[in-house]
Amino acid sequence: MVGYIVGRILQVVPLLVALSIVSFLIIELPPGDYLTSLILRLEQSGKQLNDEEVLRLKKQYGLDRPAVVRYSMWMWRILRDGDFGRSFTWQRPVAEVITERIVLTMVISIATLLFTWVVAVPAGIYSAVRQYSPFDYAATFFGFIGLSIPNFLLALILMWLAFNYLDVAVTGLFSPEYADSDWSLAKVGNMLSHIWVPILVIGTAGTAGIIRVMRGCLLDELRKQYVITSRAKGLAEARLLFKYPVRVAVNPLISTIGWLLPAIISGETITAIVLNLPTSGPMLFQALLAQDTYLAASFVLILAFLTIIGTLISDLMLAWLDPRIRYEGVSR
Amino acid sequence: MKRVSILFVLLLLLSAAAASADNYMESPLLTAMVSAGDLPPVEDRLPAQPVVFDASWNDVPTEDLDFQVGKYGGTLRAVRTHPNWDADVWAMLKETLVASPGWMDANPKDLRGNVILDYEVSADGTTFTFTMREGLKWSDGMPVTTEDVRFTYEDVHMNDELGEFGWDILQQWMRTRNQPDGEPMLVEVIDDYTFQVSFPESYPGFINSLAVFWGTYRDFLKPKHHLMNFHPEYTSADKLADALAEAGLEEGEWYKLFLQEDHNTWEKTNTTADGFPSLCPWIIADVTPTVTLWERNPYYFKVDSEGQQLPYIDRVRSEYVTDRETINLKIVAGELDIVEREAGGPNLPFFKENEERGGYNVTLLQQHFAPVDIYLNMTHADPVWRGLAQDLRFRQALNMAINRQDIIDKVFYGFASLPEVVPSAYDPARANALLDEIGLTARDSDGNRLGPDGNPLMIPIEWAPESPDFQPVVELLTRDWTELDLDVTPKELQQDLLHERERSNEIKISLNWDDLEKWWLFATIWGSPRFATHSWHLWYTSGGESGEQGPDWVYEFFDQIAEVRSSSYEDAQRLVKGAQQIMYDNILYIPTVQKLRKPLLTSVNLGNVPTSGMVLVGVNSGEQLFFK
Repeated sequence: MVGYIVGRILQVVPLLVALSIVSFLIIELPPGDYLTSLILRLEQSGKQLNDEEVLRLKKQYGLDRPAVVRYSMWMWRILRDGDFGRSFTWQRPVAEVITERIVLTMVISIATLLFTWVVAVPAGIYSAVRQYSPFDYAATFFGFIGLSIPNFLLALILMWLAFNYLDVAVTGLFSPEYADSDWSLAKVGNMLSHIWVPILVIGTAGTAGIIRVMRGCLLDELRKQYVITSRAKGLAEARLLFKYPVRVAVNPLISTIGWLLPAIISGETITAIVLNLPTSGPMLFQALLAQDTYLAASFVLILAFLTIIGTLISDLMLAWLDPRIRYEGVSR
Repeated sequence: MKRVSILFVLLLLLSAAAASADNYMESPLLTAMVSAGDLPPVEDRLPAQPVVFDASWNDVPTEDLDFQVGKYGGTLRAVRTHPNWDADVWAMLKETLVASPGWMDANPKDLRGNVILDYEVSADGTTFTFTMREGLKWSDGMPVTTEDVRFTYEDVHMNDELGEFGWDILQQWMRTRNQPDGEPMLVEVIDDYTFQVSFPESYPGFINSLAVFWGTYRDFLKPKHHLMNFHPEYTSADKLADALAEAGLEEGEWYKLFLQEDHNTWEKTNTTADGFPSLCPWIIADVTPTVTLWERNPYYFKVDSEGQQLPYIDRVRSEYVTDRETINLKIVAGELDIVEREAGGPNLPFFKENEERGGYNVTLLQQHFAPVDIYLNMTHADPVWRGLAQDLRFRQALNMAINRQDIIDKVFYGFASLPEVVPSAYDPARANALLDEIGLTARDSDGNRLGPDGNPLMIPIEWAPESPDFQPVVELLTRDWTELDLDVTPKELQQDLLHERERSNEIKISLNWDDLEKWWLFATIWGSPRFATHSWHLWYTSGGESGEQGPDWVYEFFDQIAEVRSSSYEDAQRLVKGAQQIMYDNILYIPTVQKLRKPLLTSVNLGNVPTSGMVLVGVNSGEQLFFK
């Protein structure tokens, strides 16, 4: 087991290096950089630049140096003192810009995750146990609706309904009077009164998917011989259900936990833009549009890093759960 | 005219008398701070002669606004789509050295001191003497004196390292007669409150630039006491090195740090302007990821006719929103108190329909610029394209193929007119004939015209969503030009990226706005003619060192514009016609519509909102807005 873990972690290192290079290159590929806005603003203030001056500006910002040098400098600063560089649009350190948005992003993502599981797992179980019951049909119906409506559209519809019938604009996470104040119980309460919209919107598709997965897996299990045998031996129905079939059916959810890590940080970008949430998704989107090099690259890097770590955790959990994987890893 | 001026002076005197020094009043917000001992009393915060603000001393002309004395309090809610830039708040923070009633209709005779107390122009138009307000203070309470002027000129404008780096070097309008290679202005300090700016030649237009040049007291007055901490002239090398290290900058890069710390006119609404001494009505109090909160400047130098220190409104809240649809929803839900930039044409019926429900007023005011002008880059590297764009017939064809009336009806609901600076007749048949005449007769299998070289001809329009009316105009434009059997490919870019591509001469057709309505005053500020004449313009500004030489009419145009900008009001009005004629004859670029009337959305509770006139003049006078 220890050998497997060490081996797996060692595999991750070159992968991380490769990904950091890729995330830097992706940002470097299209034309345009911070210099643009600098020159733009110079022009707006009536100043005209010639090519020589532009070149000098490039030099000042280190943009004349080869990409390899820029990449090494970037990575070195991250590793040495956690300095991800400066965001050009925000004109502040990247680490600062990202951090202030990440807490709320995680709150929404984790709340959504809990909502999804709390609703979907029982609903899936019930659908499977009472197959073809009215509830099953209802759950199936809403499941497919939830899967097929894009999140942003659902957000728009909810916003329109809320505005038209309740006379409120459900944008953002706080009412204006709380948005600027310090954290307090009242502010948390205010957030709770807003947060249900993004949770509902983002969670719907996930809920629908998990209901279907749970129902399918559980139906497979319930038809198996050991279940029939147990029932024949007179085991109580609840105990029968939860002792094995449910635990097996939940497996697909456990093995995808690793993928949730990056999702928790990046959030639902389009939905967040539509709902005007102060999360990190819209910020990444804007950074990419504006080619805010360091912010975008840092973001891509962090997401890639979390994906790899998440996969690693998934693998380790599976290895812990399933001896077959464990032994295969060692024997290789 | 004369009688009006006398009346005006009388009024000024009267109102100055009404607000004598011992009955100044302040916002309760500040009274609390004064009682707590955190702030000196109001009479110590105001200059000896504050600006006394009333109907006559007002950026908004009296016929456009029935000025009311307001009352204190409230938070003004504004909205922006850029993380670091709020067009509406930026406009409200406008403070110029010199002010003029009616602002952009500035008649130099009515110009008067704003940040400065008074000014005098020598008879030959070469020397400008400015008197400053004694006791004027920065937002942190430090006095504003000619030492700040001297610092700005000698240590910033004339500093080689800063100059080379680019931010605050002398701009074209600071050189004599607005010439790219003209002699720079000479600034001399006479005493603590008097300074002089002089040029070798007569340059009467200089004073106009100070009145309307987008609020740039910051080009002449920088807070020395703050910025000297980042300047090697005043700060020891050791201290500077520490500050550089802390900012993560290399040794010797003090000019970078200096420019980071300095906030010029364009950086007023940057979130980093927090703590930067200012003379504007509001200063940044708090910055969160989505909201910048502004609070009143306790040292603001204006009072109303009853002696109340302005601004009336205590706080301004600028919210960053990524999606325009969210803004529309916020508007109709009554969550915003003032919206100008983001209240574009196509949503007008929606705004109007929900006016009562959202508790706001839609006021249609005049726009100083023509929205969505088309620039054909005549110096693009592609020889085929360049040949076409330089052919007047090609520009004429594209110009007359635009169904402008349709754009006016569908996008602007009739609140705009046909442009006068280019021929505006709609004649698709003639446009087709012109294209045939150029030789674009061969078609590909899709029926699209092939280029003169026999290869497919693309008409790429690259544009950025500067305001909500761009997209619908692009759609109609694409339709009209496709009618000519042209392969039109519109492409939306992010704003900064568009300008970068423009800068590097990579764009064939771009869209932008231009200050056509006030050309005599603003021409070339945004550099818009440059979008059509990239390399030719570079040749002009670099004195023939870079770029390439273009046809004579282009330089005639640039010279005319420089002349317009350096002349007095009367001369400029006359001279601008010459530039317009060159534009008309050669179709330098293609405006779609002119004389737009722009909706300004304001909460019904907001007072002192103009009912006519220029929309930006209204937004500019943020200090007089108040909650009823």
